[in-house]
Amino acid sequence: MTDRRIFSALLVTLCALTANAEPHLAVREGFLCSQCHVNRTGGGKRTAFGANYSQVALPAWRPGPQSLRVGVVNPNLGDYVSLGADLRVQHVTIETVRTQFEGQWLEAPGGNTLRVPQVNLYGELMAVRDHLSIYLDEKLGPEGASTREAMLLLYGLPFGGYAKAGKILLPFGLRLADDDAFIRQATGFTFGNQDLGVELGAEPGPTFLAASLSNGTLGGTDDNERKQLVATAGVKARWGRVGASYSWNDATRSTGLSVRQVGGLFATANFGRLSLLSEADLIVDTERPKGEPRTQIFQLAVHAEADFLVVRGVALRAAFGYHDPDLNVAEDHRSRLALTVEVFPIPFLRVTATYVVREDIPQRVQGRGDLFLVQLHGFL
Amino acid sequence: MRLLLIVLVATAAWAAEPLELERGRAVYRDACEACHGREGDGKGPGAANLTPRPRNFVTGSFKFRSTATGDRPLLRDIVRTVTSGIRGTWMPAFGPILPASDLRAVSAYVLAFGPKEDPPDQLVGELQPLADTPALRDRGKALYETLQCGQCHGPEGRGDGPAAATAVDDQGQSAAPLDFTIGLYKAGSSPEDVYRTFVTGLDGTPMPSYGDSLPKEEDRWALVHYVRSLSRSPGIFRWLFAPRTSWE
Repeated sequence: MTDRRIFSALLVTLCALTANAEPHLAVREGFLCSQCHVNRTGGGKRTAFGANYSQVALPAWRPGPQSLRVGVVNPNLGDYVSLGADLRVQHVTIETVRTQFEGQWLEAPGGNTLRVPQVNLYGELMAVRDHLSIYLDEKLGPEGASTREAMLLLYGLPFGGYAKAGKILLPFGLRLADDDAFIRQATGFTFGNQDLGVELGAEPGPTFLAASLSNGTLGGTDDNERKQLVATAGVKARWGRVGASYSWNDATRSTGLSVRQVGGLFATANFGRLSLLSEADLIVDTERPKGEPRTQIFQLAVHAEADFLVVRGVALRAAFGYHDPDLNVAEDHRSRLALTVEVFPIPFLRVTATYVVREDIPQRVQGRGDLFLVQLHGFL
Repeated sequence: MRLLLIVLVATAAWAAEPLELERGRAVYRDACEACHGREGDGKGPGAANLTPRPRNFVTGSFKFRSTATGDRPLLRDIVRTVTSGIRGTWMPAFGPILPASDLRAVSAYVLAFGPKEDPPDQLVGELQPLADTPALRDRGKALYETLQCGQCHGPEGRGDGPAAATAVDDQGQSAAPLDFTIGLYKAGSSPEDVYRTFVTGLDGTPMPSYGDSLPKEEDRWALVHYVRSLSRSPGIFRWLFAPRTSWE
C-alpha cells in the first residue's frame, strides 16, 4: 500500500471525527436531546427551540448597532415545511509515526489536508402539525449522497411519547458528537450506522426511555429471520442524567449463530460552567459454530469528558477514551485524549481546534499518530 | 385643508396598528412561538422542559409591569422585558438581536393575546432615584424588618425565609424568593428596576405590591438601596459552579 493510500485510509477513518450532536450542550443546560433536535434521541435537524438557542444563547458576539440586528432565523418555512443543514470544513494534520515490532519498522505516514467531512441537509414535512412528520436526513457528502435517516415520526403523544419508523439511528448511550470515540466506534452505534426498524420512546416525568426493533443489518440486506433490539432508559434532572442501554443483535451465518450483546451505563452532571459526561460499554461477541464449542470475546469501551464554559461562546473540552478490544488479552488496549477549544463566534457558526493524543499497540501503527484538527461548522 | 390633514393622519395611525401587529406576528413566530406557543398559552413545543414555564399571555397577567397589581402591563413594559430578557430564566434578551421596530411590534402582538381592555394607568412613570447614602440604607434596613421581607427573602436576603419553601406561583410551580446576595434581579438590577418591582409587585407570584405600604418616596428608595446593598461579589466558587442558563 502506498503512503498516499495509507494516508487516505486514515482520513476515511477520521471521517468519524465529524461532530453530529452536541450532548455537552444538553448537559450544560439540563436538557434532553429532544429539546433541540427533531430526532428525539439527538443529532440531525434542530427544532425551532434549538435554532433559537443557537442564535440567542450560543454566540459570543452579539450585534449592537440597529443595522446589524437581523432578527431571529426560523427554520420553519410556513406551517408544514422545515429545513436544516450542517456543513463542516476541516483541516487535519496527522503526525508521522514509526514503530518497531518484531524487528520490523512500521510506519504510518503523516500529512495534512483540507476536507469537507460533512454535508447534510435536513427536511421535515409536518403532515399533522405537532403530531406527525416525515423526516429526512440526507447526507450529500463526502463520497456521494446517501440517506442517513428517513422516517415517519409520530410525536406529541402522552408522557412525551413518540414513535419512529423507517431508517433510523438506534437509541444507544450518549449520542456523542464524535463518532471516533471508542464507545461509538467499538459498539457500532455511530452516525454512519443506521438500521431499518421502528422505535418507541417516552419522557414521563423525570425519566426517559426508548426502545427499537430493527433488522440488525445496519441497513443492509436482511436475513428476514433475526432482529436487533436496542433499549435505553434513565432519569434526568437539571444536574444531569443517569441511564443504561442494552443491545441484542444476533445473526445466522453459514457457519453458525453469531450474537453481539452490548451493555452500557452512562452518567452526566452539570456544575454551573462545568459539565461532565461519561459512559462505559461492555461488548460481548459470541460465536456458536455448528458442532463446535462457543467462543466469546469481551470488549470494554470507556468515555469520560469534561466541558468548561469559559465565557459565553467559548468552551474548553477534554475527552478521554479507552478501548480494550479483548479483555482476555493483556496489553492490547488503546486510548485517546482529545483537547478542544470551541468557539461560537456568531450565530450558526462554530470553530473548533482539537488536538488528539492517541496511544495504541506498536503493530497498529495507524492508531498511534497524534492529530490536530481545525474545523469550521456552519449549521441551521 | 386642515381637516384633510387630520383625516390622513388618523387614517395612517389606524392603518399602522394592523401592520405593526402583522409584523409582530411574524417576529413572534420566529422568536417566541417555540416556547410560548402559537396561541400564546405558554405551551410551545419547547416549553415542557423549561423551568419556570413560559408565560401564558392569554390570561393577561404579567409579572413585570409599571401598572397596579392585577392590571395588564403597558406596551412599554413588554418592550422592556423582551429587550432585556428575564434573568435566571429561559427568557432571553432580544434587544441585541431584534431591531427596535420589531421589539415594539412583537410586544404589541404579545399584548394582543390578552383580554381586550382599555390601557390601564401607569403607576410607576419616569423615576428620579434618590442618592444612595448610609443613612438611607439604615432606613431601608429598618423597613425591611418592619415589612417582614425576611419572611420570604430571609433575614440576610438570601432567599431562605421561613415561607420560602412553600412559595408557589399561579401555575403551581415553585416561586423561590430571590436571593438578593446574588445581585441578579429578574427584571433588571438598576435602582429603577428594583423600585418598580417593590411598588407594583409581581402578579402571579407571592410577591405583593408595597406601593401602599410605602407611600413616601424616601422610604421606597431607602428599601431599594438597602436591598441592592445586600448583593455580594460572586467569588470564584459561585462563578464556577452556581446553576446558570446560557441565556444569561
